[in-house]
Amino acid sequence: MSDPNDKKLINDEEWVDLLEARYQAQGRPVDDVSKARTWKKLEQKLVKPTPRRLAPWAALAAGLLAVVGVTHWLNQPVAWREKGQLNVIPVNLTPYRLSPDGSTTPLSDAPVVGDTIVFRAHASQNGVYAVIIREDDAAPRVSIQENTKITNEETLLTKSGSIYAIHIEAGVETTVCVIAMPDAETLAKQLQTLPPVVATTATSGCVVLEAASP
Amino acid sequence: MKRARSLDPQTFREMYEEHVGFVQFIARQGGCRDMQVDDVVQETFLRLYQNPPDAREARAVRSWLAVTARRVIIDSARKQRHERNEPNSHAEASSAGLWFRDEDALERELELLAVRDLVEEIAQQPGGEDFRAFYVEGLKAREIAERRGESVSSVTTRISRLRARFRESLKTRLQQLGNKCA
Repeated sequence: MSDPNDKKLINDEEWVDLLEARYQAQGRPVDDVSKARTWKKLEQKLVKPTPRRLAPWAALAAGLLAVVGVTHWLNQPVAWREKGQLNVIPVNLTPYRLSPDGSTTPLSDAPVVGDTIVFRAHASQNGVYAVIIREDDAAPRVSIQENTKITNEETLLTKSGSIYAIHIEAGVETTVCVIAMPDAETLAKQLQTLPPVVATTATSGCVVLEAASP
Repeated sequence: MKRARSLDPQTFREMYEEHVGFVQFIARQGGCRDMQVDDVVQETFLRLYQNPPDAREARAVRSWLAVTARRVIIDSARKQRHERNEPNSHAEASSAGLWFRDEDALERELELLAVRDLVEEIAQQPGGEDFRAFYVEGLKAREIAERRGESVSSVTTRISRLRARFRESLKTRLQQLGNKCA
C-alpha cells in the first residue's frame, strides 16, 4: 500500500458512475414537491427580496450611503470625456421584475405602476460602480456610492447586502445609470469633480423606466 | 479570454430540471431527511450557479453536482456540529442519523455508499476484518496492528492485498455498467 493511511477506495468518477447506475436502476426518481420547494428557495437566494413586500423603495431610501447632492446638471458628455472619463467601463445593465415571492423575470415589456425592478450588470472588466438615478427632469443623484465591486461576471446591483430596487410610480420616468471605474479612488474622484451625467455616452450603461400607460 | 463564471438563468434552470433528481437521490442516500434534502439540493445548485464547472456536458455537470453534493453534506454536518458545540465523535451517530455524524466517518460512509456490497464481500475473506476496520471504521494501520499485536507492515500488506481484490471486483462491475450503457 503506497500510503498506509489512504482511505480512498474509489475515485470520484467511479463513485459517480456507480451512484448514477443505482439511480437509473431505481427509475430516476424525482421528488417533485421537494423540487418545486427548493427551486423557490433558490430563486429567493439568487435574488434576495428586499426586506418587506413593497418596502423596497423605503428600504432603498433608508439604506442609501453617501448620497451625493448634485447641484449642477451638465448634459455635456463630450466635455466629460475630454476631462479624462475614458476609464469608464462599459456595463450591460439589464432590468428584472421582482415578484413578491422573490422570483425575478427579465423585464421584456414596459413596467407597470407598482412593479419593483432590480438590475443585473455585466461589465467588460472588473471595477467598482456607482448608480446614478434621475427622475423626470430633476437633478440626477448618486444613489449608490461605496466600494461596490462590479465584475465581468453578472452582478446584481446591491449595496450593503440589500438589493438595489426601483419602485415604479405613476407618471414618473426614471433613468437608472451605472458608472463603473477600475478602482474606488478613480470613481470617487470622478464623482466629486464632475457632476454625474445621465447620458449613455458618458456613463457605463443606462436603463430608462416608465410605467406603461393604463 | 476569461469567461463569465456564473450561469445565465435559462441554462441554470435547464440544469436544475435535468439533474435535481440525482442530487436529491444522493442526499437521501447520504442519510438526509426531507428538509435536509432540500438544503443539500439548494446549496449544491447555488454553488453550481455561482461557480459552474468549465465543462457543460450533461455528464460533466452531473459528476460535478454529485461530488459537490457530497461536499455539501459533509460541510453541513461540520457546521451543525460546531453550532451544537459538540466534539467530533461517533456517539451521536445512532440517535441523530448520518447527518450529524463526524465528518471523517460521514465521508467514508458517502464514499462507500456505492460499493458497500463489494466491501462486505472482501470483508468476508481471510483478513477481511482488517480491511473493514481500515476502510469502514476508519482505524489507522497502526491502531489495527496494536489491536492485533502485529507489525504495521503485516497489516498494511494484508490490507493492500485485499484492496487489490476490491479494485478488481470494482473494475468488473464498472465494465458491466459500461456494457449496459453501450
